Amino acid sequence: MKLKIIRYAAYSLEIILLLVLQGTPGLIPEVFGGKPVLLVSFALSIAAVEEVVPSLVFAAVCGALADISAGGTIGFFAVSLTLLCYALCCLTRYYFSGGAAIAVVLCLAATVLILGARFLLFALPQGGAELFVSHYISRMIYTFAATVPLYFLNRFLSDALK
Amino acid sequence: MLDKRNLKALIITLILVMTVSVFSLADNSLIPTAVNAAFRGIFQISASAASAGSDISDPEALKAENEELKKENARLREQLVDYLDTKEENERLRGYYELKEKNKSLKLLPAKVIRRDPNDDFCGFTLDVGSVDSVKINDSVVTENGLVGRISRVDATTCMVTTILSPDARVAAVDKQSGDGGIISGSDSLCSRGMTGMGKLDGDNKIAADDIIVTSGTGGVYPPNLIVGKVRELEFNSYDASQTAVIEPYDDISSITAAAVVIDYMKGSEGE
Repeated sequence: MKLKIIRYAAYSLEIILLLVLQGTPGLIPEVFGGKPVLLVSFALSIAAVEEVVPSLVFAAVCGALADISAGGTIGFFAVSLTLLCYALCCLTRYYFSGGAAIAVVLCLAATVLILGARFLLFALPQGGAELFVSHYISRMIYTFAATVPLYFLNRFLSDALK
Repeated sequence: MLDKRNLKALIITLILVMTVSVFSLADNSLIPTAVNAAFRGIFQISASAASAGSDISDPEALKAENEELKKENARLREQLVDYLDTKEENERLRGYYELKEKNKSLKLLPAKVIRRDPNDDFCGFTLDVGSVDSVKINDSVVTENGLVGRISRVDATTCMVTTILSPDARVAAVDKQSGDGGIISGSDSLCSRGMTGMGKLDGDNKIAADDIIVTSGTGGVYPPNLIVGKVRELEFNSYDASQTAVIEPYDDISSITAAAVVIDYMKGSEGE
């Protein structure tokens, strides 16, 4: 129980750090017009290593913080990340218990899904398909690239503090 | 996957999220306000640290000064940091004073950029002032070089800015030289070059490169005579035979670290 509390406290500190990192102007360089959404990376990595209930909680929190950071109204990221992390957690635990490679592939698919949905719902009405090419492809790749080290870090924490 | 316990947890989480979402719809709602207030201090520190790291203009002088500072204690280092902050703020405030001299009806509230969200495609940012500082939605946001955007969302301690590079900008503007009017509205292709566009131009307009574009003040959202930028070129849209003036703002909006909110101005007054 004590180890679990320490583990969740470590995750919470990670959330705060990643929120500050992703929002600080000029800290993370833009690559081909995109920056990583680190909170999405974190939530997906947690879903790939933790059980369902903690995955849901962290997904909801990360989603809410991402929504507040993006525009103030909690909605898209909170709901979609919750659903996606639930699916990802169940798939990695009950269907594809095949380790890191499968988890990473599923995280890639989840990243593309959530950012693709955001493009369709919010960006397409604003800027059209050119926004997808100039911002969203690089954002997806960048976010997925951040998911991989976070997955291994959180897997280490999960194994070490079980 | 459809284990009852897990499904129950999912449903409960979704209900909680949607309940919180409904309560967050209004401006100044509790949870976003509380989160922004809680993280405001951290973001101010990280934004200051990030901008200080990019402001090194003379490496040799700073290295020599750093060698000297190493011999002294932490109190002198803090004094140096305070001095640089005060000097930077003084230069910025002098710029706002000159802007205010040209537009005497403006009431300006200086603020710092503390956050830029990675999901914003048009260089929007968050300032460290909010409704407690009399900031309201649609207040204009300026730097000493001109208009950069308007406030699109406010909570108690922070506010979000939609820039003039965004398609949502919709600024009524006029060419100072030719007198032709239009609407400033951005696009992704222009934003990637740091520019915005002025559309809804008359077919017989006399806009030329290097003309200065300012706000016209019609519509009552933006004060009149705020500089938007200068005309780079005129683009012709072959689909509808319309013209768009490509406007280059005098600031690089994607990298500004401070701005001022126009919290009040006398409507109907002309800037001088």
